[in-house]
Amino acid sequence: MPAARSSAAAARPRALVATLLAALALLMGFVALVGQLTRGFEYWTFEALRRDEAAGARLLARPVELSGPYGAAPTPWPGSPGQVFLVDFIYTRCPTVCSALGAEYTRMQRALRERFGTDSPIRLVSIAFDRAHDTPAALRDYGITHRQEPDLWQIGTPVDAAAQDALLRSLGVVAVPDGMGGFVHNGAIHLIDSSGTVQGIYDLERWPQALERAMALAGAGRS
Amino acid sequence: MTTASRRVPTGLLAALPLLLLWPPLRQLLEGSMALHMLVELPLLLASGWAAGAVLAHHRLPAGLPRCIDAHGVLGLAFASCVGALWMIPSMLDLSLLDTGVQWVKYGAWWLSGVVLRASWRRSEPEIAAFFVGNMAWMLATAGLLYQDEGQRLCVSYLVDEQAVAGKGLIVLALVLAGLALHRVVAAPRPAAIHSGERLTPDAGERTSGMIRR
Repeated sequence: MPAARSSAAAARPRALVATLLAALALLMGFVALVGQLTRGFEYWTFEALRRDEAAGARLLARPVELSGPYGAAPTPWPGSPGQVFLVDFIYTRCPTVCSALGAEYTRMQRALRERFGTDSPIRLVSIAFDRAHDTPAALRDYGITHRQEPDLWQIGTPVDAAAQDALLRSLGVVAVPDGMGGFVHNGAIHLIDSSGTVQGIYDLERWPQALERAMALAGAGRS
Repeated sequence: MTTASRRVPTGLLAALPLLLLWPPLRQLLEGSMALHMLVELPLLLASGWAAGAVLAHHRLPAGLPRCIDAHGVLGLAFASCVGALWMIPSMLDLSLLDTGVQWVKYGAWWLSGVVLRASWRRSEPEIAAFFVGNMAWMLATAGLLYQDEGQRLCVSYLVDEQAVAGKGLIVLALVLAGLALHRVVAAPRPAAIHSGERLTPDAGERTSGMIRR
C-alpha cells in the first residue's frame, strides 16, 4: 500500500514538529512556574519564602486566645495604632534555643523598661506550643526563670489545638519532633504590628536589630 | 502467571493512591523525608504507570496523543518536569502544609506515570536514555545538596533526615543511570529483528520498511 505508506511518512515530520513545539511550550511553562514559585528563582525554601512574605508585609498573624500562668488573655493584636509586638515561639522543656530566647527576652524587657517605663508601646509575647507539657505551672516557672514582668511580656499557650494550628499556620511556623522528646522549629523573633501584620522575622542573634526596628515602628506610629 | 492474574495486581497498584486518603498512612509516608521522596513519589509514578496499563487494556486513552508525542519526547519531558518540580525544597514543604498543593502533587505524579508508560514505549533507546540520564544527573545533584547542607532545607524535616534522603537520592540516581545504560545496551539492533517482530507500535512502524527492503 504505497499511498498509505507515503501518507504515514508525511505525517511523521508533522508530528515531530508538533511534538517539539509542545515540548518547548511545556518547558517554557515549567520555567515560568518555577520562576513564580521561587519568586524569580530567588527563594527555594519555604523558610526563605516566608521571610520574604514578612519583609513585604504579606504575612498576617491570626489573633487567638492565650492561656497563661495567670489566666487567659487574647494575643495583643489587633491593638492600638503604634503598638508593636516581638513574638517568639517556645516550649518550656527546651534546653537550648528557647532558653537562649528567654535570656534575650529578659534583656529586651530591661531595655524597654529603661526606655519607656510603664508605658511601653512595644510588648514581648512568647507563645508556647508543646500543649502536653506547657501547663500554666510550667509557664509560670519559665516566667520566673527569665524574670518576666507581665505588663511587658505575655507568655501563654493557645487555648486549644485548633487555635494553635490556626496561629502557627498563619505564620508558617512548623514544629517538628526531634525524636528526643523535644522539637525543632523555625520560630525566630517575629516583629508584628498592631494590625497583626508581620513586619520582619529575625534570627535569635539578631534580637538587637529586631528591637531597633520595633522602636522605629513604634516611634513612627506615635508621631 | 496468566494475563488475568497479572491484571489484578496491576489494577491494585493503579488504585494505590486511594490509600493516601487514610491519614495514618499519609503521615507515615510523609513523616520522613526519605520515605516521602524515595517511596511515596516513586510509588505514585508506578501507580500511574499501572493505571496506564489498565486504561490501555480497556482501549481507553492511556497517554499523550501520538501527534504531539513523537518518539515519546513530550511525555518524557513532562515526567522530567514533574520530577524536577518536586526536588525543590519549598514544594515538599508546601505539599505538607497546603492541602491544594498536596493533591496537585499526588495528581501530577500519578498522571506522569500514566503518560510516561505510553511515551516510554514510543521512545527510542537513545531518547529514553537522554531523559533518564538527565533525571539521574538532577537527582544526584539534589542528593549531594541535601546530603551536605548543614541547614534545614525543609521546615518539616530534620537535618539528619535530609542527609538520609540525600544519600537515597544519590542511590536512586545511580539506579536510573543504570536503567538508561541498560535501555541503550539492551536495545535490539535492526539486524537482530526478525521479520514480523514488533518492539513497540512506533518501532514496528519505523522498522517495517527497513525489513521489507
